[in-house]
Amino acid sequence: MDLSKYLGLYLSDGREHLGALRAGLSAQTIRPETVNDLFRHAHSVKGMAASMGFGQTAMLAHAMEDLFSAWRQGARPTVTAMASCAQALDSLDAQMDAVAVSGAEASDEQAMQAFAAALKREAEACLPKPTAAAPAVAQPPKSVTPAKEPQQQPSDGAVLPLGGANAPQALVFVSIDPSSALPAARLLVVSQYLEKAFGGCVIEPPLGEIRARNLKRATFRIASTLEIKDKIRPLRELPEVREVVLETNPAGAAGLVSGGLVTHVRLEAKELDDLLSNTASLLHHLTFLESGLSQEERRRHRFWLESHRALLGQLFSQVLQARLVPFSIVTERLARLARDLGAKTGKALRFEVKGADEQVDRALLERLADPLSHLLRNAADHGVESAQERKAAGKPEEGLLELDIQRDGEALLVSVNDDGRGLDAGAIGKVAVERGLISPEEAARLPRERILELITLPAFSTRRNVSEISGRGVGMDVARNAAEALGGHLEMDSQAGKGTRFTLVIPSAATLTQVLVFGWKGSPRFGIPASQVRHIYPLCSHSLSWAGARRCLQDGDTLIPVLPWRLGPVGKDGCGLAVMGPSGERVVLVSEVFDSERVVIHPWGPPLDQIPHWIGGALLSGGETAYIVDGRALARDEGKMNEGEAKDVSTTW
Amino acid sequence: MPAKVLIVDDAMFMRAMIRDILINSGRYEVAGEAANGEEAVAQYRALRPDLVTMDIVMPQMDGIEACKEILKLDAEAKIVMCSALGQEALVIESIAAGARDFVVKPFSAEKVLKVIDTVSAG
Repeated sequence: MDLSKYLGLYLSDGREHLGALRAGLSAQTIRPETVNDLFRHAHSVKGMAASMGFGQTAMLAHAMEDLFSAWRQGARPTVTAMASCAQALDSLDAQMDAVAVSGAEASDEQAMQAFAAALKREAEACLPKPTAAAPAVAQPPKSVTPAKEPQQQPSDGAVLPLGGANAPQALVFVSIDPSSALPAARLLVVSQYLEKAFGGCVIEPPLGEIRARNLKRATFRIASTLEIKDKIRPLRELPEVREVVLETNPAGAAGLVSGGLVTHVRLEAKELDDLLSNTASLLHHLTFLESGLSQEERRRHRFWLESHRALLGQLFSQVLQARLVPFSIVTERLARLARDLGAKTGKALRFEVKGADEQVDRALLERLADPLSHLLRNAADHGVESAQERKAAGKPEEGLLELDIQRDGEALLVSVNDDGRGLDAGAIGKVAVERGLISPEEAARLPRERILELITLPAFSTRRNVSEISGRGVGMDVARNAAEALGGHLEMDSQAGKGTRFTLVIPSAATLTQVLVFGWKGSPRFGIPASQVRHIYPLCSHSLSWAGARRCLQDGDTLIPVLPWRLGPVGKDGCGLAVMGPSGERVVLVSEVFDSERVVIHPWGPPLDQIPHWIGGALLSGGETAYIVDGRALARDEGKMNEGEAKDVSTTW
Repeated sequence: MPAKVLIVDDAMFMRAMIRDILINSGRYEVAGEAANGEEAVAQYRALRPDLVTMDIVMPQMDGIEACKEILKLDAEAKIVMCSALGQEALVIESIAAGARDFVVKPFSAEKVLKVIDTVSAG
């Protein structure tokens, strides 16, 4: 039977079930009726996958189903079980993606077996009744599964992880050191502590999400007991724990959970954008309000002003985090694709990833996955030569496919590189002339890059013989269109015999940029994208001198021209920041570099965007605004202060 | 009396480093060392140390397995995992299995002692 026509349905239904599982598992309290739903969703995934012949998915879904079945018997979901479920869900999601891309499961048997084994252990642990550590949970008689009466008293349904129906609950907010290397593991240690001390604890968001989003804080829901404060105190002493806030009588305990059912909603990225920009505006407004207050008033309202600012800052970073995910979320999928491509083409391929830690917008990432798999496919099919050809060319037999994620100022550059045969511009030009795409004169006159770009034209790339000559073909137009749809473009660079690099250049206003924060005493803060700064020269150890009419900074024997652009006086405690311009390195003088931070840069709208050399504004973690200067533009214009810029700087700020 | 620690790591270099950190603190003494999971379990049985530092990736038996085996011998065993960056999933697995805490390589004496002091007191 041809199953391929059911693929679309399988994917849409399957993803819906997985989404429901994720939502159900992330609820702060898991109720009997939720467990029933969980069981059903897992069961559906298992059945669908089995009928499509996707054995690994079916196997893992089955293991999940067994665990939920144990829960249905009244066993208590534990934190470790939740962690295992999150891992299994991630793996099932990845398989859905693999099926969507290639129509088949990715071979990931070993990992999936391990996840299934973990689920099995959890299910087995449920078999003997929970030990004395658990508070007296009213165990429903085995014959009457609570799931069968989902409607009973929905307002005070049993809260499985936390004991009795009316047991008072408490929330513990914990944030950990930003420098923590493994924040999710750290939060799990906290969770284990609470579980031991209170006989149960639910972590929110779930561990899988904490890992995926690299979150540094979590909320723990525990049963409130008399000695709660004493039991919480040692938490503060745990390594890397920064903040512990206890809320013993959470106001909307029920309202928050809204019946313990729906906790996940889908949001358009645009809505989050609006939320982000409104939050930023609120912070700006607060700054204006504050500046209108007298010293006395400020002192009097200090507490409220500060907590208001802190809360807004928190809100801002929460919205931000909701949008951002590390690039590594898709690299696993692409690595699998590379492995499959190696198997299909019979070429030995090595897949490497650089910069997978870059945080990018979730929606953006989803739209990049497809063009990237096209580029990889192309590189494997056409870029990397056969083993004999490589040997003859004196290359290692293993072909290199490299995914390279970089940030350049505000843009995101995602490249797919190979060390294959490269593109032959001459041959491409010749064929383009034959096809009437360009004239012979153009072929002679056009720069190399423009000639190479011709292969992204659909008319060009679909011709089979041409694709053989160029070494490239199908799919290039897909990648180019995807880049353009995101407001960016596709760049390519290739050297015959050496390899090819395709780069998706995406201008990403809503992603994080590392900036160096600098400023003058009493002035607002300024920033410069760290990627633009090649070197920081402290002026206490590097002297300035005149070379003719030019001021220069001395670095050993080298003199680097200093740009005349300056926002204020610079003394011995200042710094020179080396930025690269078209005619070499230039130094920007600043008074003091305070810090380096990852921020979201908001491009300025009109009329401020008319001022050259400025990229936009950004909110720092302390709640202040920083004005971000474009070092590259400064170097390009040799740092000429524009008419009015200096004045604007001094009067506005 | 200083607490006795069993150091488990397949790299002699790492064992030496941890040993120095522990001894220099004056609060710990080294009960023994093991270079793989099997050795670790055997040593634990013989020495009954107060605390174990456990590398994750090791030949013969890895640190997670060893951690589980030791906990079977002694449910109250205090085990601190030593992980390299990027092994979060393994660390999470071992904590779920019952390890008390973890440190991440490359580590500083200060951080290692903070974790070990906390676990040792708990």
